[in-house]
Amino acid sequence: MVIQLLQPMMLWGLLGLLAPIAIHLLHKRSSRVLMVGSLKTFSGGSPVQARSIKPNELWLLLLRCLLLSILVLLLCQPAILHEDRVQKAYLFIAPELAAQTNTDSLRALGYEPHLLQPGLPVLDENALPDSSSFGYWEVFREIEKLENTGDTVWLQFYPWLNRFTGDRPALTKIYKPLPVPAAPAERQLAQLLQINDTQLLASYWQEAEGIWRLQHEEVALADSLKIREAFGRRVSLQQPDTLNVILQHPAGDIREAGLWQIALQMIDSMQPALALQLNMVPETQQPAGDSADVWVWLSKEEPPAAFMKASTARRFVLSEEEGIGWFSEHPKEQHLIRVRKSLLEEQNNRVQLARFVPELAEALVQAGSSRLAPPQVLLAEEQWLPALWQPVQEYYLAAAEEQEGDPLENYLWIALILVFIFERWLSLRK
Amino acid sequence: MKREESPWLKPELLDLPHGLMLFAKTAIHRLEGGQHQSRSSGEEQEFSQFRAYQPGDDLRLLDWKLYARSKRLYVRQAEVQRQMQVLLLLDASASMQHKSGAWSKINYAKALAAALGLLAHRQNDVPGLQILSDQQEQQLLFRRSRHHMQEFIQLLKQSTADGHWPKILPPAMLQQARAASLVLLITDLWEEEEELKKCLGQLLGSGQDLRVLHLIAPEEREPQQLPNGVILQDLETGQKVQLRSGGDKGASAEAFIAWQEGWKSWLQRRGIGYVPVSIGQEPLAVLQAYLGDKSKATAW
Repeated sequence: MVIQLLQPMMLWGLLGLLAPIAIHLLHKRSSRVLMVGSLKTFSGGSPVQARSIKPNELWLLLLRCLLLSILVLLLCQPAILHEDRVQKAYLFIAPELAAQTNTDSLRALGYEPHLLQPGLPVLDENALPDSSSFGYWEVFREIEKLENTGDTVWLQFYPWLNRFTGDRPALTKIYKPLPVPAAPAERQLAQLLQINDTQLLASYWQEAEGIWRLQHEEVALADSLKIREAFGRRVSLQQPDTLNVILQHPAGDIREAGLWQIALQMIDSMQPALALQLNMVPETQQPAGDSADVWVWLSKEEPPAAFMKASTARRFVLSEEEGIGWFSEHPKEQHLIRVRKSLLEEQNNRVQLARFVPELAEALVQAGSSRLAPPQVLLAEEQWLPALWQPVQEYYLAAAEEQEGDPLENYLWIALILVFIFERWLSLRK
Repeated sequence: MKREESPWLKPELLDLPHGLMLFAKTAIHRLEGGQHQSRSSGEEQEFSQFRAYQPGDDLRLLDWKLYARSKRLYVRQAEVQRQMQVLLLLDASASMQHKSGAWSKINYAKALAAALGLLAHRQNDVPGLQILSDQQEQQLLFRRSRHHMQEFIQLLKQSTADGHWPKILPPAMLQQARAASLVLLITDLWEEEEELKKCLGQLLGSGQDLRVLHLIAPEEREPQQLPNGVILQDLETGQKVQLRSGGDKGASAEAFIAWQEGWKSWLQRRGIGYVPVSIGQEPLAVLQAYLGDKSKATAW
């Protein structure tokens, strides 16, 4: 077991120890020495040894130094780690993503890949992705039971798949964010979702249970291979993905198209490394062939038949049946949103779409209450320009067994109070 | 050549006004060291008074002229002034380096010795001086010479506070002390107590008047005026003690009073005069009080 300091720079605070020591030395130096003829009658005094200090003063000095040291240690945020265990980086990958995962490269990067499914099997060639409709909460319970204190835990899954069914369990692990000095060498193509606390899980769950939900149609692996061969594109780990979006909208619905544009910019702001190219095209203008990776069909009418029948397309359709009360309350505002994108970037865009839909709904509500008011969420150009964005660098430690508070921190607070009381008592006694 | 500085050599002490001189004469007389009277015949006889003849009186002292006038026998009485020898003993042990305010004890002792020696010289007495320290054995014998006082002051200037009280008193000094009428010891009494008492016993015994001028620093008598935490270092042994609180200082004050009272009673039991002198006062003021009228003197 070792103690790791989360804020080691705070150790500079130990320089503050010089203050009580200097005060002590100055105080000692200020003792006046008077030469007298004899000490015979100075019977009340106590003998002074050369360079000696009173035990009382020594205790006081030590206590004050201890007080400062504890304070500095508290600011350093110490965490207890188990030294006997090798620190691991777990990567739990949803079964939907397993087919596209290069496990060798992940292992080379230091990850231990597992499938995010019941049993948490190790992801290798023999692993069988579970295609049943299991719930994530049960899987998270299993992750909780792992001896992963101090390890890094990465989760890679689709929150929009609505696998967060049932009651949310009481997750007892604390996942604490820690700054990482250097950026990761390579990015994963698929989005890595990092769970930093149970609230984040809950928010994903709520989003998935929200009024907007996406359905998707599975595409056979054979089809994806065909597309890959046809387009000759390969998954690149280094090159940032470019998301080319064409908004095709009815000629009279420019305002709604504007809302979509804002919503997509919001998506982009959530995925900073993704380059977004956004074009608004009136319905009367035909999109330029296959140049777009993502199609957002914003119309009350059905999409063109050719669009729907495209064998190489993936379609995400908002379900009106499951899509809940907003439609019933706003019958005039019903939209059918169809999204087509190429296979290569589909994973990113699925997640992004899952994120932006609730926010889009909120924006539409705002627009419905005051049609002339500009949308509230509007990112400035420099805010969503990819060149100006820096990737977020964080990883997480599954730190302690307790749900709340750091035990070492609590002990330090108690020690601080006790030492302070003792120091005051000794000081007043002096 | 750089002139040696002597801060104790105050002009007002060496150039005492005549008024003070006369005043001092009285005081010296009170010390029984001033104009010593004796009845004896000799060349220096001066008429004093007549006294009725008694059987056994020397017939040579009869005043026959008075007998012719009065038909009665009177004896002529005369007085002879004799030079008194005053011996000043100066404690020059290291403890006399104790400094309090403007004065160290050794300088204060030198100033007192210089003033008293000058007083004795001015009233035709002969002052002698003995420096008492095991590191320096210097003395100035009784003699009448033109340069006696210059030598007296020079010896004071040369002496320093160093070493300890001598184990054995110099024989020449003891011989001088026996011849002296008045012996004044200027000391802080911070010596080995038995050793000092033995020396004082040796100085007694010839019937001369022995006085001890006890130099006391104000902080010795009243340690309360010292700040808390002050460290005291013994000038002779180098040992240190620290007075941390008022209780420490109170105990020290009581111990000093007990020690002083012990010395006072011991000296008085043996007929040795004891005069405490605070070096917080200027020597001139001390001399004026000591050599002044009796009411002031008793205040010591």
